[in-house]
Amino acid sequence: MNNYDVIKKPMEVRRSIGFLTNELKLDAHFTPRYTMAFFGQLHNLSKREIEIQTNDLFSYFDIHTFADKRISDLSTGMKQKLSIAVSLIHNPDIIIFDEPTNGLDIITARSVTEYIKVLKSQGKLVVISTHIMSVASKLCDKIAIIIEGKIVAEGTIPSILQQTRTHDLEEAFFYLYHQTVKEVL
Amino acid sequence: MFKVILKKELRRVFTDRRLIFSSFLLPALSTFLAYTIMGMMATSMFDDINEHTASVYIQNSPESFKHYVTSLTDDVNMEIQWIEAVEIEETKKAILDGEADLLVVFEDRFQEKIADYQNQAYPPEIKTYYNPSENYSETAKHRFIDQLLIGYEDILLAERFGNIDYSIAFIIDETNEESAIQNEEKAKGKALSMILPMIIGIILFSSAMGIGIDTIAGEKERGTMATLLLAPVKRETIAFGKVAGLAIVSIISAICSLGGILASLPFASSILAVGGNGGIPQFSVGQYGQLLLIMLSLVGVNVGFICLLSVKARSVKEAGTYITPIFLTVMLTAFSTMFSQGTPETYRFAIPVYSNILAIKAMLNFELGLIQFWLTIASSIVTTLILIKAITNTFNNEKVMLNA
Repeated sequence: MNNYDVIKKPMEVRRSIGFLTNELKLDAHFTPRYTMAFFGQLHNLSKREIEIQTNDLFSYFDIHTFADKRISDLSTGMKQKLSIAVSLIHNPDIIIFDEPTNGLDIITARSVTEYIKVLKSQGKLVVISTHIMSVASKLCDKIAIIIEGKIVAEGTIPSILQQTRTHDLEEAFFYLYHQTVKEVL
Repeated sequence: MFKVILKKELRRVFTDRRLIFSSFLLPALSTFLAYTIMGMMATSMFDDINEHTASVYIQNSPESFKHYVTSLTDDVNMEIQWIEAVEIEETKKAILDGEADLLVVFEDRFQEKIADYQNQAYPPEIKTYYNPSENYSETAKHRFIDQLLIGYEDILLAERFGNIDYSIAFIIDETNEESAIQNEEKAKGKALSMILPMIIGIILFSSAMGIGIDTIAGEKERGTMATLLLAPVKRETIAFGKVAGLAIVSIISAICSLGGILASLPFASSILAVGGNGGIPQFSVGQYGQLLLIMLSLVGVNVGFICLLSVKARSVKEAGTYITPIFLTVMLTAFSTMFSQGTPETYRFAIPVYSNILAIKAMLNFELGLIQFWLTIASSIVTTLILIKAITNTFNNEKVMLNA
């Protein structure tokens, strides 16, 4: 990943990526501000770098209003916003998001998808794993459809639609799903 | 990075009022209250026994004894009743029921046999009946013998020989005030060494247990460990940070608990065998340094065990299940040193945990040799290093760390 062997150079790989999954939890005792500072230090950022990056991310996700509250007192949406901010504290080149909008209210979900577009515009490589085809359609340049643990289609959205002779990604997915499950059966 | 992890671990504890209360204040308060209450209750019990007016029943008493008792000017704090032979069984039952304390039965023709001592095969006998299970009864027997029978015997012997001094062939240590050849400090230390090493051993482990389980197994269960493992930090550094954080917290917690014990000393002298005339021995700075090193090395071993088992566990509950047998072993080890006598074999100082408690005991007794001391420290350090290696290996195991 990013020209690093994940087995031999795990530290370099971790430095290059920002990873977010619903499974990742933050210590509920601390505040968002301290959590950002802590993970910033773990990524070897200077105080100034942490301050700038925290300020940018907090402004974008509107975290300033609850920056000094305990995480235990935050709503699911607030926690998810903070988790995204924490995963991006070191401004990584590669960002991996697993179901980034899962469980979020529509407004927070929108701000997350908009930020992914911002990251994309900055030239970052953003990898999203999602079951929501509308999110994939809106955000992704390239798509890989995984069924039964195997990539069954890969390419741009038009190329996949052409390959499956369908009109949208959801139809394409179910077409491929029936094909694959039939093969398996 | 180590400092960052360590600071976070300490911040986690020292900014949480509940943890501060449960880890530092509660152990100090509970040990203080426990020892104070136990000490006060024990003192109150001894006072009560001493102040109790013993109910003593005497059968077949010679007139001379009755006369002796009535002539006593000192208050012997006994209520004496003179009974007949037919009342003996009834009195024995009362003693069994705790309603009477002592029955004393003089042999028939006691006075005559005393007077005719030259023709008697055996001196006449005084029989006592008491209930050893009852504190009042047991004390009544000893007080009756010490305060009444010995004095009465002296009077009889004085009559027999014309002078009480003739009845004494020799005296033992009446004028020898230096009979006890002992180091006063060592004597004080001996009293302390009975119970303190056991308390220190148990407190050092229990103080690390609660927070230790939460620090690692709790973080795994809550999912925050996975977030931490994603950071570009060596797993060894994370492991060292957590172990060091826990060690610091458990040392402070142990100091608080020991503070609680020290604060309770004025009230707990009767159970801790210190205070009052005993007190704390005068140890040298070097000895305090030895004690500190022994305790620190014990903390290392304890924290190592707790961290390793917490890392292996999937949840707080599982960690508790793994650690409880270790805690019981530590308790048994601590108790086993309480009643050990003499100088232990040197090899015992190479057994982790046991050696530390043994070394504390030997230090308090002023008997800790340099070889024993360094063997204790070395065995603890080696054990701690092995445990840390096992912890870091486990931290590098994704399956275990992510509960996969």
